[in-house]
Amino acid sequence: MHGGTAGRHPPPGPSKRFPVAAVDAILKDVLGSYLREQPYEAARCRDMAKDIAEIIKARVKDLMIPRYKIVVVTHIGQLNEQSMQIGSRCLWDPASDTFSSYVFKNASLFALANVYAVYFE
Amino acid sequence: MEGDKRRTKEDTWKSEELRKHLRASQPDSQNEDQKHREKKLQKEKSVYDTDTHKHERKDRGKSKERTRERERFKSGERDRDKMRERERGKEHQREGDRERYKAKLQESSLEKERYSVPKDKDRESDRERDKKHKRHEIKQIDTQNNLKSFEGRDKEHHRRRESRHHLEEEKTRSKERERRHTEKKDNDTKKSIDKFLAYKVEEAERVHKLQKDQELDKEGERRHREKKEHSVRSGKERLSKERSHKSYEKQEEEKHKSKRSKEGSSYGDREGQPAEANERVKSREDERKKCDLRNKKEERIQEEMSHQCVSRTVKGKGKLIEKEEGDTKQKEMKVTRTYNSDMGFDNFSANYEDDFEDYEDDFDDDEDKSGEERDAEDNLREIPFSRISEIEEIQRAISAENDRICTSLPKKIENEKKEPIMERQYPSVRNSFCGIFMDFQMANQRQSSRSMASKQKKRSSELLPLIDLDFSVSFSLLDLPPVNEYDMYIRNFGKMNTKQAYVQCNEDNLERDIQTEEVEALEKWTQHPGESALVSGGPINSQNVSMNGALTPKIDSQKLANFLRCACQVIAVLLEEDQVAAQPRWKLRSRQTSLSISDSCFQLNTNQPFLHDRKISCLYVSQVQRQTLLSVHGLPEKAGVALLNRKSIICVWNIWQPSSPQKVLICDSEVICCCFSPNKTTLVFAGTIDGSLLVWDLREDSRMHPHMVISETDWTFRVPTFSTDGVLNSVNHTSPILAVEPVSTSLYADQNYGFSSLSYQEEMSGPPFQIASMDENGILNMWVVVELQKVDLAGSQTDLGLIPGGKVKLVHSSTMELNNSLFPKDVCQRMPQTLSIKFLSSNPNRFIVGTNIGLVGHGTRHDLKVFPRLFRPRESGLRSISINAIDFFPFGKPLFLAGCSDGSIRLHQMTTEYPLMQWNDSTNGQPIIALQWALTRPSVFFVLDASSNIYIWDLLENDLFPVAKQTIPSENVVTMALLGEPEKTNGLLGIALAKESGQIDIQYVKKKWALRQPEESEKLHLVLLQSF
Repeated sequence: MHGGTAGRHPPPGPSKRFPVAAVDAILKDVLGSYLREQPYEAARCRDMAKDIAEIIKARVKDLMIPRYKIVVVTHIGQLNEQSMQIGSRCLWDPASDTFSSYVFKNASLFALANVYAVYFE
Repeated sequence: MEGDKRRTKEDTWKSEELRKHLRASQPDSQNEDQKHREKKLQKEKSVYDTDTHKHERKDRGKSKERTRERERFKSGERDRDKMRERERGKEHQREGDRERYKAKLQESSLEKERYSVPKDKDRESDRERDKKHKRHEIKQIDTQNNLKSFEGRDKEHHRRRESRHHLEEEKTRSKERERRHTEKKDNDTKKSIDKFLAYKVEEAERVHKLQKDQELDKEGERRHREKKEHSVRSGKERLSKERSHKSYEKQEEEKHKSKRSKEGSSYGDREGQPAEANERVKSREDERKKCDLRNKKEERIQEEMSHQCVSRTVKGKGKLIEKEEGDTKQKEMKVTRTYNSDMGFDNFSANYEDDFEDYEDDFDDDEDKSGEERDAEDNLREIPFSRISEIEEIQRAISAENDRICTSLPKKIENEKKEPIMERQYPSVRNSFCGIFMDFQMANQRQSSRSMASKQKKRSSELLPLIDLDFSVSFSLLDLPPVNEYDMYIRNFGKMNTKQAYVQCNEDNLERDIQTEEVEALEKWTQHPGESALVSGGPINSQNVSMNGALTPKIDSQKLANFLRCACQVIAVLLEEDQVAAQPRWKLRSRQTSLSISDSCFQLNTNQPFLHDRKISCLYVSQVQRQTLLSVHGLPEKAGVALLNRKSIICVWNIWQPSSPQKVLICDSEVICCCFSPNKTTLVFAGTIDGSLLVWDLREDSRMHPHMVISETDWTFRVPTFSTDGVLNSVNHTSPILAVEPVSTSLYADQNYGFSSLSYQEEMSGPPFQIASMDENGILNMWVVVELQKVDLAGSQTDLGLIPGGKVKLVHSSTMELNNSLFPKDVCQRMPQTLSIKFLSSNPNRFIVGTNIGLVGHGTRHDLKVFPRLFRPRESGLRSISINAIDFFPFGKPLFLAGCSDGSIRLHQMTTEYPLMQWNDSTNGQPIIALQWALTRPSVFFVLDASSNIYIWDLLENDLFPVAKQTIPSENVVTMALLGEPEKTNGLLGIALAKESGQIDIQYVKKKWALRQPEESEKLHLVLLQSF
């Protein structure tokens, strides 16, 4: 490991970490702006989940984070005094890969948006 | 007869004793010997029964028995026999005394005899009870067993006969006895009539001979000896026979007693017999229940428990009879026995015989037991107990009748010969004996009674299976179904004074849905070393083919449609070129160029009836397909075509087909700005004066849109696929949209230029992009363009801005207020108005905004700090100068040109606040309307001023003044757009000029401004460096 030669090679990890905070802000913004006044309607929320996922994907891509693949998963469900657990499992490199998650609730519904960022070597 | 009975008694007694002492007994024991002898005697008797055998035996026997006698003397057993012969007399006396004593006692108390157990009489009474029980049993079996196996029937037959015999014997006891005496004398001739009878008679004869003619002749002597032997062997049997002669009266008394008991048993079956049975077997238990069934069962149990005695006794008789009947086996055995005895192995033979007899006994026992059990089972199974009792009653009645007849009959025929009586009584048992005595009255009566009984039995047996309980049918006694809702309701509320009312609560309107989309899966094939160019491909068709069975040509209709579309365009272009060549007018016009800057020019045929009197407000050239042009035509000044009166029109042109627009888009409000989608020319976005953003999907089927035939041409006027107008009120623009810009997030968008994929899949799922729309108030909205997976021809209920059947919709993504975020407070005080916006192609997060105060704002979409925040003119201070045009340098460097309303042109670089260059008076103060970098040369840009002058700047040639100026003579030029393909070096660079009259001229500039010079970028770089 000579320092000179090592310096010429690109660093093994991502040059720029995935901006979790920025993505969190996006999630918060998108979910809040879309669902703040929204009553739960199954049909509408089904489309809404898709739209929100699209928006989140587009806006995360706007961040121009190189070499990161993005997976966006959104859930919208009714708040009806029920209990629910949503889990996820990933196979990734914890050094470079990360995720961002945000839960939004209003009077009638909850929404969960997850963004998984997987570094593409 | 009496002797027979006696013998059976003795048998039972012996069998009892035998079981106890047989195996371990010494040969000296009298009982065993007696038993042995008895068996021999029985066999001998049976041998004598049949005349032929008897005579043969006698013939043979004379010599053989002599030898036997001799051998007997030799053998110790014979010695013992002799000893017993001697003892016999004593025994006779003893037995006689005992009998007499017993008879007296019995006379005195019959019942006491049954229950009391004096030591002397114990055995006797037991035996008598056994006998009675046996008889009773036989009768029962006789009466009850209808269906029997062959063996059982045989035995039963014997038993029946025997029981009958007993009955009759008892009834006609005294007379028979007298008869017997007479009979015995001349009975020898009639032995063959009835074997059983003959047996008895023979017995009697033997007794007679014993008593009277013991030593008359040799044969008699031999017989006597035999009988002595027999009597010695049978012991008490002989004794009883002798006794029957000697002590006649006492026997009579005894028989009286037995008769009484028998009568009691016959008439009072239920009472007497169970008690007897209990007493006998269970050692004087109290009276049991009187149910016949139970009696039977008990008896069976008792038989099983003490089958030694019972079965022995039964067998004793049965065996005798069987032997009389001439069982060949037994005969053979007897023969062997006789031979053996002749040979002088008496001792051995006796033992051997004993063994044999034992074996036979066992066999018989088993047979009897099994037969009886089977019978009992059969009875139980086939005849219900009630029936049994019925039958028994009938039977009893019949027997009573018979008794009556029998008692009356003997008196009548007392005078007759006694043989016939004997014979007459047997026919009732067996009809085959009817031949001799012909008492038809009795026979008829019995016959009738028997037939009656058999009829009833038959009937019962026939009926019983029919009457049998049927378990297959089941009835539910109580069936109480649950009360259904309506019944409950009626029960509770169906009374008077209640009303029924309906409530519409929509509870039944339930909805179920799945929020999970199907996983998209594609089949691809590949091959591992990829040798040819084609290594992988689309879905594997072989499966489909094999499944269909027939080879169906796979037609990718989408691909075909795309190909046809492209081919049609090419052909259309070729046709149009031919047309241009053929028509001199077009030729002339295309050649005619009044402009000094251009080599040639042509007009787009805007001479369409729906385009008359419409001003062109905007031109837009696609970034991807440079030949595609959008022209926005404003509202007509005069009413034209009825449909399009109040409509703005956007025409999509292909400059290679100038004769007519490719597509005509209409919308309700005036369009201020428009753009194409960044990657393909499939979507058109437009911002209107009332703040709505419109989307047209050019892929839509033309049948979705209104048609109009104008001047023999069918025109399709496409309405917007999606409109934000009035739909997304909360986020929608409330002021005129001044700029619409595509924001491509693809990092490699530039590399995709010119790469036109024909794949429908890619077309559908192209890289996502957003549309930025900015209105006068500085509101920048970002919209995500969402392509729907499925088309709802009925229209969407949630997406109200979507045309039915539309596939593309806009989803609001984010909003920025540029005025507050872009400008510092001092600038904000001036109330800047945003006029135009451009996104940096290399980094769409960064954009610049032209204002009306001469400043160009610099912003990012993610609230990141950028420097500089503002691009200022060289002049200090804020002036009311509108930035009318901004254009980024298309060749990579972060430069942009800004054209101002005061006629100044500024060249900025993104890193510095102030411009690299600024040209103030190039247009003589005329406001700059449009300005654009040349697409083919980095150092050349074109400027249009308000007075329709086109200036060409070449910074390499002259960085102070434009190198050329061309005034458009005829009309005002509203706007200008450049057409060109930077990738190609053919030097084609067109200027699209939109005139106020609605004409669109396309001028191809001269090659010197169009052809790229060598190392132009570096030179420009040097020039720009010099300008610092």
